Amino acid sequence: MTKFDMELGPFIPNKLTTKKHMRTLLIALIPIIIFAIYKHGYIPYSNNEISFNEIFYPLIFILSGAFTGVLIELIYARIVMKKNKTRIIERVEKSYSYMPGLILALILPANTPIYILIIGTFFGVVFGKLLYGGFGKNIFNPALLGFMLITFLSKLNIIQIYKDGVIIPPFSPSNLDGIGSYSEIVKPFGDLYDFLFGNIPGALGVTNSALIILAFMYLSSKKVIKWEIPLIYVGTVFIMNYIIATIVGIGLWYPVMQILSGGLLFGAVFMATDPVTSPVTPIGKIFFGVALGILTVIFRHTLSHPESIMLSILFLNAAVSLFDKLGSVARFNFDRVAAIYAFAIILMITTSIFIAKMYTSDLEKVANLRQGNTITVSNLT
Amino acid sequence: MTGYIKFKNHRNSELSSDIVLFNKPEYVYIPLILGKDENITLVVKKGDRVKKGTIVGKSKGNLRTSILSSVSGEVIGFEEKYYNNGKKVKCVTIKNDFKEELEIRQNVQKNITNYTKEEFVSKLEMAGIIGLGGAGYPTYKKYDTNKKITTLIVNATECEPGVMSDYAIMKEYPEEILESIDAIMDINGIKEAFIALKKTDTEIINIFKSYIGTYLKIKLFIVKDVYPSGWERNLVKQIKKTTYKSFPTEKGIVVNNISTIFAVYETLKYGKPLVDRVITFSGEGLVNPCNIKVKNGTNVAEVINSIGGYKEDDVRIIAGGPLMGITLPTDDFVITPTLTSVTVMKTEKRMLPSECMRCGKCVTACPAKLSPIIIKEHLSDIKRLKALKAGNCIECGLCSFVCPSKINVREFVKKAKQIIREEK
Repeated sequence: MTKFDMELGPFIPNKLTTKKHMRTLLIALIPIIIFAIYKHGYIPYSNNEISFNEIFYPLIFILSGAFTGVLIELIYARIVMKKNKTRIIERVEKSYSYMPGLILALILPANTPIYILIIGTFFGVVFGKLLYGGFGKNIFNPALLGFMLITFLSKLNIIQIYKDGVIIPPFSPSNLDGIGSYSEIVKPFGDLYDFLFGNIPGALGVTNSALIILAFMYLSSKKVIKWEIPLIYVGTVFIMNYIIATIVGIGLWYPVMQILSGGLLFGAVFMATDPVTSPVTPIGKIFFGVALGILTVIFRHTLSHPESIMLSILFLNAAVSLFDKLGSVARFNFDRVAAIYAFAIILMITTSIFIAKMYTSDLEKVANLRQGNTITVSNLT
Repeated sequence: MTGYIKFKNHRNSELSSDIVLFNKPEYVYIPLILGKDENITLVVKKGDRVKKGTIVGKSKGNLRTSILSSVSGEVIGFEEKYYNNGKKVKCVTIKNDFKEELEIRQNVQKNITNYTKEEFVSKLEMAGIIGLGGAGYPTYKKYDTNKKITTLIVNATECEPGVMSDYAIMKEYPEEILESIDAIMDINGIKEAFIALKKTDTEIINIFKSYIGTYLKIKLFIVKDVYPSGWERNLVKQIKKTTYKSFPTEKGIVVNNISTIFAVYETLKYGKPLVDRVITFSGEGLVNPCNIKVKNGTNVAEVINSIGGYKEDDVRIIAGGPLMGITLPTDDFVITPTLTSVTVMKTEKRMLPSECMRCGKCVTACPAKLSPIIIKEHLSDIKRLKALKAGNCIECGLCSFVCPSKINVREFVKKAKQIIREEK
């Protein structure tokens, strides 16, 4: 006797699962983690700065971030689900809690004490994820919430994450407002290749732009991240800084340096694209990217704030539902979108001009810059 | 291209395009339903003698269409049978006397263009021709308009993976199809016609190319092998670069399925009413997947028995293709002109849906430019659902297919669609 099973269609299976999705993300992070071990473990060891045992400190650091997240989820599941073992396992398996701690570890400087990372992860997972109801329901990026707490504590001098005197591009020892000549900004760290290949100071996993670009291409080809967001985010930062550089009178190296520094690429590829906390509609994603770019440029230039990426993403996380509201309706009505596109472009240009004017009002500085620029051109070509 | 997905091997390479006949059912069960309309006036009673093409029921309203008997014989009663919408529908049970008598007999027409537009329209109406692509819209209605029809688009894209009934017809009757298109154009004064074919169906493209020479006004239009490229709005947009509100007739365009065109040919040439159609029986659960020409009202179980039955004990029997079709609790359901295929699949365990991670794949996949996941989140907010145009869903199933969390998103959009419809 043939039995007929009732089920809702479609009946063609699709192999992509959330689990695979997260695994692909992890694969993309592996080269970045290996580079972190190389840069912050192997190189200091070969310079006899640390002992052999400390080579793997970066790895232990990253793993403890991931582990903390899973542990918190486990404890929480244990409390909520009493002793139902299968449900606890399922909950932990489907919450992907290793991710926030892992990402947070990568955006903290090497040699950060592990307890700071644990505090941040705890804060991020509990207040960024669990209180909203778990995976898929949170509004803010949990890793960035943890990072925000750590930054806040360090601003209050309760903890210290960067050693005294360490300065991270795009800011330089002599120009803390972020603009200057090539010799002022790039030279102290080497050249633009050092920026591209991660040979500059910065957090554990964010400096090697080349690897992050590769990860971006890999993830986009696997259709795992919302590729529009990083592309447009970074593109906006580039264009705006290009306008600023042109008005101020410095070269193309400046916008290039801007996108290769300060964790912009890492933030754009791994944090702005966090599926849960970014828009789902194509038009929403585009405007999200543009808005991120504009905010980042404003924060970098006006507040001279090294955490501008974190601030931009967290700010706009709160507005994701607005972007989607616009994006879901605008798909039917091109005229409406056209007006907003135009508005976004005008906003980009006027903000850039405004920032550039802020710099050019300082005449003495501009004169210095333009002088320095001659060096720049030869350096670029 | 957003909103379209390429399925590998959408033409089932193991399925032959030959057409098997199953035309001697002992009983037929003619369902009294047209599209979604079950408000049918019954015009026969128990004991009546009917012939092929005898009207057994008529729908009311301005889409008036006749439901015809597909055999000659005797009405022996009425019973409820499962229909391809998943519900039971009242059917007229007719015992076949195998005499194949026709209600209206007609000489073979040498020249099928010898009809006036009015004759053409009433002939299609009498013959009960409805769209064979699945929607079942009465074909005569498309031509019964005061608006000048300028373009005829023949939809031969048949995009559900594995379905080959149109393919089989095209391979078997290319000349008849071209003759039919030519006659329809002549009768209705249509200037141009396009046959929309999938790029990967090279065999069919070549067949048409070798016959099309004398038909200067008929052109082939090749579309990509993606799903759902056969969506009417999409074809009109691609071919004529235009959009419409409810029906393509607004822009002087008629879209017909290619099997419908062949049915029109048989009507014009031989006066044959719509009593049978080619249906693809496919899927891994069948011993012998094939295309079968079968009479309307035939019981699916009989057809499956005749081709060797099932390979497995636990199957899903799907009325329709693997993407848009629905399962039925039994194989005891009836064949109608709106059923393009019957798919039988092994019963496989499904993964349980997990929490949506908002990857947005359903949004990018939607060919109707809807935002399925946002619709799902706002099911209780009817104002928002309207702004999101949930009513535009074509139920293609791509949103559910692409979801990595295995959420059956389509069901939520369908619910939203229903909420909007009920509010009106």
